[in-house]
Amino acid sequence: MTGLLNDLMHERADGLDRPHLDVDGIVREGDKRVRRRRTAVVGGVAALAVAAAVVAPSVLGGTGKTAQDRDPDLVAAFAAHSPSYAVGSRITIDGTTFDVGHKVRAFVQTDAGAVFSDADGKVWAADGADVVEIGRINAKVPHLVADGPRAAWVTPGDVPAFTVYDQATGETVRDPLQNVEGMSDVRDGKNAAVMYALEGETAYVKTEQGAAAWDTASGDLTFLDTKADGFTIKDVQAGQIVYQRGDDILVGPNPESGTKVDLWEAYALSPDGAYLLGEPEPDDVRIYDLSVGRSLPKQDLGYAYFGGYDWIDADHYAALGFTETNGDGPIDILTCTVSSGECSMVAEDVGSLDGGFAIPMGEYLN
Amino acid sequence: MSRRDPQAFADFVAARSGALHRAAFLMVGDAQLAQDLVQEALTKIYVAWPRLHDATNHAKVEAYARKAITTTAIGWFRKKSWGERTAEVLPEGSQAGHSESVDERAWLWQALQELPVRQRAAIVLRFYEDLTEAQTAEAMGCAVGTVKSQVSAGLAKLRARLGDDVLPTDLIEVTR
Repeated sequence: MTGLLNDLMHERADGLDRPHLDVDGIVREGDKRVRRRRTAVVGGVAALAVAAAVVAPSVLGGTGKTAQDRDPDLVAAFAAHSPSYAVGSRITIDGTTFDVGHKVRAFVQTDAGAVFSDADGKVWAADGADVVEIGRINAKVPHLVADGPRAAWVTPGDVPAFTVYDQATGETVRDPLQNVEGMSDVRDGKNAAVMYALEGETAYVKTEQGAAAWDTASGDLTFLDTKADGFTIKDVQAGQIVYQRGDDILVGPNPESGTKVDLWEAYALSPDGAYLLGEPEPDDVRIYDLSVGRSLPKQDLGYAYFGGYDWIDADHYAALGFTETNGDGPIDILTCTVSSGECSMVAEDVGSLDGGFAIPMGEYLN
Repeated sequence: MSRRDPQAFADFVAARSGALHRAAFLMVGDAQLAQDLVQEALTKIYVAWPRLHDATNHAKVEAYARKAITTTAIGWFRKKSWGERTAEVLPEGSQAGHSESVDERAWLWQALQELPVRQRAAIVLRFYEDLTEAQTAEAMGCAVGTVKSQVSAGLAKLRARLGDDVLPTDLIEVTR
């Protein structure tokens, strides 16, 4: 039936020489995109903007300084979870830049400041007034998560330990739980101890015995998946757990009752649990509306790569715009509104991945 | 879950890159651009490899490869405003009195390249890749009804341009 059209297409196509493909280059570029996408896994999710009014007047920094000792603009910006970024040792939030004295390798943003790691594997807390060393993390492959005023990570050692730091009070809780000697402290490592996510005082972790919710206030440990083989928690918000089992991404109050979502990769729930940042296809970052079970249309802003990476509040998220697909070119930071679909520029040409640029994703970007 | 196995991926590239290149060429009409398209699509496939690669079932990666080629081509054309590219040599439409020596295939090829990219992609998938409407819809990331309308519109344009003698009307009525 195809007749002339079919014959023509075969004639033209069959006359082609084999393509000259750079397979090593494809693998290198692919690995780079995978790393970039992993950095989009939000470690900490925003506090609601309303929290600013409560927190700003009374918060104590981890160093014991009162909020009045700090730049009030910084206090308000961190409390409101305004988008931030780092270039080298300088962190910028809401137009204010401060130097933390150490090159930022990976960082997260809390209600009270930034928690970051350096190339030596030291973990620091910075609030714009002081910089305090608060622990250690894997130097090469750091992985921090955050929620509200707290940050959390895995402390390396013969037996890796889970660490939760409250930047508002300066308190640290550290416990190896059921980890054993020889476990990896690298998230993707074999038999690794993993800090999956943090919600309030509950840390979601992978121990030697499986995935569990650890109530850092009471010390209670509730197992969610005793094998944690092919099981990963992506994020937890508003009592909803986003997790992956095998190839499926699911969302639910526990890993036994999740609903499968049509996403290839999931990053972060909005603070109210209504939306999920994720990818229906690789490199296609969308907002997934959990109430209707589909991805919202994507804004075409002309970037080679554009995607949200963090929630500011239930209706706003921070996004990155790459002018070049591989991230080598200038990067813009934007804020977008889910309800209107509109985005606005926060900071233009803030740096490039190769130039020591970092965003509060809790991982090393390059 | 499968990890990214560079050797398994390299084997896939060796086995399938030729076919992907041919389909890409038909969609974009330029060998070098088609090669760039395959390179980009293969990068997407590599990123997605752990979810796609199953030693006992290649259908998943094949379907994803078709989709990567097609949606990337459509995206490139849309982003770069190439949807209605100007051909290097613009032919006139098929008209009465036009020389009978005109190579029908050259005219058809030219007309095919002038179609909007979604219509061209739908026609390539249906009549070159020999996919069903459902498979074509999956590759284009659209509904089956959209495939029908894109194919129908594309063929109608070809017929309007070239005449029923060159492109019989029965081509429009094929449905699987």
